[in-house]
Amino acid sequence: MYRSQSKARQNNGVAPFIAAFVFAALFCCAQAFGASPDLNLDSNGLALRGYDPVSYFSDNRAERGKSGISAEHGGATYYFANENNRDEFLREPRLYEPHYGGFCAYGVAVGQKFDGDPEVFAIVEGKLYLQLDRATQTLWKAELNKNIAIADRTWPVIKPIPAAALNE
Amino acid sequence: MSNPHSHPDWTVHPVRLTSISTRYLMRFVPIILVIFTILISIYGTIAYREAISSLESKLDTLVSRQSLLMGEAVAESRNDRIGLLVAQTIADRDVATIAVLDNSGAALNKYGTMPDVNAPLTRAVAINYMGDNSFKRVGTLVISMSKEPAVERLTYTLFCIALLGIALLAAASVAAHLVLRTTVSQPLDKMLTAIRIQRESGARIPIDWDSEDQIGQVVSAYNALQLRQTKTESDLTRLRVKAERAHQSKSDFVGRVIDELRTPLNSIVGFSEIVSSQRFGPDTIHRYLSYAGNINQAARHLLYLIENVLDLTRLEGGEVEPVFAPVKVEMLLRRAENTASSLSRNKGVRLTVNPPTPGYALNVDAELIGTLLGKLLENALRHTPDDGKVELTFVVSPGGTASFTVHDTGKSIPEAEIERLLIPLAVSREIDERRFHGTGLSLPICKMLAEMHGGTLEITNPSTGGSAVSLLLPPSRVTETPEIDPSTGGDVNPSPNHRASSASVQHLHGPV
Repeated sequence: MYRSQSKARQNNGVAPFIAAFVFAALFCCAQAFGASPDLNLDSNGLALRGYDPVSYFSDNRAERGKSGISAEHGGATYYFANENNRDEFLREPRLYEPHYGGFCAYGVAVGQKFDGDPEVFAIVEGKLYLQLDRATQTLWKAELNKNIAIADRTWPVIKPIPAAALNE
Repeated sequence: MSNPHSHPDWTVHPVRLTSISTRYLMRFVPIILVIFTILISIYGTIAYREAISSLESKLDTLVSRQSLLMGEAVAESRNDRIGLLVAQTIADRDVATIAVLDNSGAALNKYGTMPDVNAPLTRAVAINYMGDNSFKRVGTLVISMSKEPAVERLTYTLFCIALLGIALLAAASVAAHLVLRTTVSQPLDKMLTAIRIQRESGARIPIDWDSEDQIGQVVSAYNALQLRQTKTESDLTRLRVKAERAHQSKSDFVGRVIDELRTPLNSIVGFSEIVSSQRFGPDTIHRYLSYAGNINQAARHLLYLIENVLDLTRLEGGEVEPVFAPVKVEMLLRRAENTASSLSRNKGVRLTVNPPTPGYALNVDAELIGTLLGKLLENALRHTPDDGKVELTFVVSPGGTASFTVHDTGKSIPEAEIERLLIPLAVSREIDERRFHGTGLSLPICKMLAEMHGGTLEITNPSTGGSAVSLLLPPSRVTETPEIDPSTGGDVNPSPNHRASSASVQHLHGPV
């Protein structure tokens, strides 16, 4: 995700957290017209890389959606495998949206916004969590409750900050 | 033309001959090669971009994962674990360099030189560590990838595709060559061989090739052309022979006419000399009178000959136009009998005209048929010996053919001479002297008159003895009942065009 946005100009490794917050506030203003930084979208504003968000819950598997069956919600485009899934999604989108905006759940726990792989997912207590890859998922699952708890605390902090800014 | 090779060089050179399939392949192969190269280039470009893009996405995932894995090790400064993770990372051949930096920027571990963060295929990511309450940044991970291995893989793939393509092209060329040989080269070779043989020996050999395509059509057209050419040539040969023969017979005819004319002229000259010079003295008046008779007879014969020659010339020149009208058969027979009865004949020769079945009428030119029958009767009467018999009969055969037959009791005609009798003055001198002296023209005239009516003249030697000449008229000339009054049927006023023929006919009917 961050590669489609402005790259880090310099490696400011020792920048304090407050500075990051100031940066984040500036970026939020600057990006008011663009894609919101709290969702993991591709350059076309597509969420979940085109996977059907409803299939995870109905079939417990990742299924590619069709570009012909799509819906807009909260500034993101979703593709669906069939019309029923779309209707189901539009009825109550909050139930089916990926948690942490579709970013890697383990990354969010450590204050990073990494791309979540739609193929590497887990449904915990009715919420869809994506992971960077299977290695990350293994680490995440080892301390599942702890990681979710930490990430839930971290997410509101990093939510408005663009991914690139987190690595300044 | 100044060019020494003014006409197309049709000579066939088997050694120099460039086959169709070679020429085809010489164009086909380069075109396919160019198209193939263009396609490979397009594919290579797309595949290269694809490879770089997939490399970038792989780098993103790698650098993210490794930063997560290293969080705890960097936070606790466990260098052995950091080293292990670095070693694991560089196991991937696409990774060029890796550096693990702490917050001060000092390298905790690295492989290769420190890469420029802004260089392509290079990523720098913060290494965060999750404490009990919150996360904190503990360092930076920088990884760069090299595109060389990917490019190498791509090059190898393209090389394999190129090899496959060349193999395919070779196979296609061989197949095209074989197919062309069986469908195009073989029939063409056969045609060339046939043309060469024809040029060298003149023999026209039909080409044995059967197919429905254009080549097959060309071959069959060529065969048809050759067949027509052969036919035309044989026609020309036949016409030339015929023309030569006609020329020859014309010369013969002229020679014979002159010969024929000389005989009576000689008598006229001889006898008139005797009379005018009174060679036997003045007293032998009786003798001179007899010579005068001879002179008269020779002159008449001369006239007769000349008239016949004139008739023949007119008929041959197409000056006589027949006028057809229905005529009763009885009328024709009566007219012929009248003509014949006035002719000179040997002593005791009887002329019989058998009465025909009444009611027949013919659609003919009455004047010309009358002349024809008169000539046939005259011919017969002149040459039937004393106490002989001449018979004229009209019969309609069951097939509808009408025939007038003049039958005499004279000597029969040798088979070999029958055909020559119908050619003007062609009959052998011997036969002519004996039987038909001076009449070598009347039968050919009769034949031409018969042909004007679509009929033929038939000369036979009947088993009862003597000879018979028949005029055969086709069934279309027979009209059972005359459509016009019989009294006027035969007396149609001659057209101006007809005058020539009626004049000549008058000559024929004149005294002999």
